[in-house]
Amino acid sequence: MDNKDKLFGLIDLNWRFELTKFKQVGKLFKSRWFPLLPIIVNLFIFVIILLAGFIGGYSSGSYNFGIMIVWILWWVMLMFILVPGFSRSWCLMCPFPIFSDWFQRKRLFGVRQGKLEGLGLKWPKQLKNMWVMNIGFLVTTFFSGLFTVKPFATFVLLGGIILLAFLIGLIFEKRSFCLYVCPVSGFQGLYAQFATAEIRRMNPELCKNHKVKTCFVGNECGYGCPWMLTPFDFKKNTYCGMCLECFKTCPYDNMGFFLRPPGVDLLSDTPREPRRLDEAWKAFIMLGIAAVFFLTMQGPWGVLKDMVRQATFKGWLIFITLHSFFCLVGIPGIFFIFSCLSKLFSGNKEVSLRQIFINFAYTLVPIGLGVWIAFSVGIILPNGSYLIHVISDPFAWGWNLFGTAHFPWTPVFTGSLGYIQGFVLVIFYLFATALGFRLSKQTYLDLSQAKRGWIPILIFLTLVTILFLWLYLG
Amino acid sequence: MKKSVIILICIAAVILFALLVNYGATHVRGVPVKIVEQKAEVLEVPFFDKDIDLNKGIATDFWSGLKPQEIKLIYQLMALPWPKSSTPMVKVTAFHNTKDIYFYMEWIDETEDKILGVNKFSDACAIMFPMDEKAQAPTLMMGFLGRADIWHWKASRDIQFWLKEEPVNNKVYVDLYYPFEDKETLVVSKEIVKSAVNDLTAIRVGTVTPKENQYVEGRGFYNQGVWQVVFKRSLKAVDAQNDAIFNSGKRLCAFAVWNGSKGERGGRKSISDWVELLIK
Repeated sequence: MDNKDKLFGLIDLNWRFELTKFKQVGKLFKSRWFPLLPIIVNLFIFVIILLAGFIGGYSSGSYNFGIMIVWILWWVMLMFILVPGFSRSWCLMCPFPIFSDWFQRKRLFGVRQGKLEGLGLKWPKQLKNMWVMNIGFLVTTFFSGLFTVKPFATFVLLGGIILLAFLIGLIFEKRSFCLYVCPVSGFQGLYAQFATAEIRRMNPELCKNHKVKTCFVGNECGYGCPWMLTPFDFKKNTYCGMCLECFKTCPYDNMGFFLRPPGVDLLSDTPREPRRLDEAWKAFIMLGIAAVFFLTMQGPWGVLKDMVRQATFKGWLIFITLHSFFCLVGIPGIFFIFSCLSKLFSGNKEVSLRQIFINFAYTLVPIGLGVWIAFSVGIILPNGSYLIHVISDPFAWGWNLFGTAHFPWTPVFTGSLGYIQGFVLVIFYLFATALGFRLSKQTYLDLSQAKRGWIPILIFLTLVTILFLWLYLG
Repeated sequence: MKKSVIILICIAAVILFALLVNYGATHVRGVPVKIVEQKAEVLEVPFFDKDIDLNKGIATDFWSGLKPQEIKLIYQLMALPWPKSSTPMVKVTAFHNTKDIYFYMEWIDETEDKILGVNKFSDACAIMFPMDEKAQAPTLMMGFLGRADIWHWKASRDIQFWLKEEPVNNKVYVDLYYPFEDKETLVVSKEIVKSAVNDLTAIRVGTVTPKENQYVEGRGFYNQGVWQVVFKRSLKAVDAQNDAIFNSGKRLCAFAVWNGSKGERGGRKSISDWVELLIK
């Protein structure tokens, strides 16, 4: 990365602000209570969510604690604040893998040195990528009409994920589930590349001279990276689950938590963490799902809603067929055409079409994140007031714990909804174009080729943004 | 830890979750209640070599020689408004002569209500046949989930058709049609009654529609606090799409009775459960 490279001529891409230099933050990150404490708090909340889905009174989705907390609050927090702001900070506090962690470590709190419990098998090499997560998340969306409406369906989904996390933890090593299976993990990893925070080692020389690499193998203060990364040299947020074990195991306190400009990981392409086809497809799938979710959940087309909510089996089959085709073939296919045009326009013969396709697919990270944030605005503003009801009556048993059980449905700023969504889309489009041109320069290496090769991709990004502006603004 | 122990834990966890999901799925709407399927009452429709000319009456002597089936009625409460009282029972008999099918309904009613007026309603009865042969309980009300053929006899209509009497007092029909229409050359809004029975079709509550062709005949008499009504239609359906078909051995039907003096009209009525017709 150019030392003087500034985004929009304003934001220095090399700027970092270390938060762990504040003693209290540093101390917190070194403590074994953190992130255990937020995980336990979250575990308590998820127990209530599961109970609400399992034994809660019969209520509509909007009056169910599980559905409202998971699909309204959590989803919006994830897309709105956690991922774009703090990378995979959800993984830091996620309670799903805690049972397998406890089982493997045979400790609730402390550190157990030596071999972990369980079979500890290596994850199959062919599946060491995002494909399982890609397909898993896409398949999950087939049932979106149930999960967002029927509390019991949410129970089955979350319970199934917790069970799967536990089973995989028994059979495979460390956090194989989080790294290769969890449907929530894939898109967080992808979009965390745009996040304005990162965990990185501070002084590379110190790591170089530290032969034991305790961040990877662990010591008496903490476990070796449960995500099987090498914290002493990773360059991207994609697969760092922010478990903070590397802070605890580093004897030199050489790990730092930094604020940074958005999207810098998109420009990183190292032999250890290269840009990959599975990540590119993740970007296509996420963009496709966002479009389909908007059409089916916020659009005016009742026929689509009927398909998604499985009014007829035939209609649902049509939905999953079209949805899958759109996400797995349609969008990548269109993008491939624009990649071909990019190569044609650039006049470059050396760079492979595959490399062009993969590199430029990362321009869809800011676009996709913007689309999802805009979609989340469309969820929280009309429906957020239901949260005030459900905290007083989490099990739909007629409780009124905080006196808010009768709080009426109160949409907020819905008159400005389209404009807010449009504003978000335009901002993220600008980031996509700014970062995209840098990707073009990395791809073609020659400025004039990069400029020419960038034109078709810029047109594609513009068309996608216009399409979503049309959808959101009408 | 041994491999076998881990495998056992995995199997136990999966089974436990499956049991949990099964329990949740069966209890998601509360504790499941086993509903015993009630056996429908059976009304036999035997063959008799008998033809009844309704112009001459309803052949009361013949019907009294047959053993009627007592059908329990309850007041309708599937759709508002509900009736305030009920007719508890109707006696029903039926037969066919290979050409026509006949139904005889008899029920107790203290008052004879056949003249319409302000807040005055006619006594009536009806038979409904679901067009779907496998109609389930929820389809009872006006063919709630499927089409139904309904034969609706009304006392007021009966006197209009058979006795050519005006069924209304004090010209209250002003809201329904132009009161002097009879004196006009062409009658356009006043219904020309073709039968004492209105042959209707419906697909759910609020969709009752008279059929274009009326093939059902009927006649009723009030005698010492008892209504006796006979329905008659050709055994073979003229319009198989809209008329009840009696060619199979078993058919479902349901009965309804309205007591006009109790303010019953429309949905305010007493109805039976499904009754199985056994056509012999």
